[in-house]
Amino acid sequence: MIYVAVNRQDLRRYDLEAWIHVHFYKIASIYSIIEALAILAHIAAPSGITNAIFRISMLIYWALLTPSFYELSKGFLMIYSRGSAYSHIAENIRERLVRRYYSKAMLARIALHAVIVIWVVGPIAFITGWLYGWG
Amino acid sequence: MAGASRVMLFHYLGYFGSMILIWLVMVATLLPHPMRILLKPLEALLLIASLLFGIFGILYVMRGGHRGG
Repeated sequence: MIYVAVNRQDLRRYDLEAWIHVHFYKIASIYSIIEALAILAHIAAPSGITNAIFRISMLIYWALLTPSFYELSKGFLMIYSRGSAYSHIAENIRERLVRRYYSKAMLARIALHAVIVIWVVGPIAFITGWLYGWG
Repeated sequence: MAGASRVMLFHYLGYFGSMILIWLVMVATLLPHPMRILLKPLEALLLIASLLFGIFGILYVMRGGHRGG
């Protein structure tokens, strides 16, 4: 069945990932001002409290940007694979595209996992530095 | 239209900039001491990117640009 999202409620049923991305994006947009204030306090008045606020706010901001990063990566990889990976198209068309762009489709699937691992390295490094006093 | 485009340009500059810079700032905290000098400029850039993302996002909505479903 071909199903097209026409509004936000439909989007949730049609593509849950996209729905999560839309909401996290909106929250991140507002939260970015709080993040900016936390960075400003950390730079202007360095202390234990402002450092802790900065660290926690960075982790929250990272979490809010994660769905956007995921969708953005998928979008670029969909373009790279000529639509053979991560596209919402009829299965018979996708099968044809995968046959034609097999190596690109495979590479796109591996690359998504690779970029997610790289993305997750950020907060791990950040928390490690914080816990061991390197940061 | 040109005004709205410029607002969205700055908004997306902050959005994509935040995504790249937050990762760089997080990883840069593990840099060895002489390289740690990079951390402050990165933090300052993230501050600018965050402000662009938030302020121009709100500006776009206030100007009635957001009419999505």
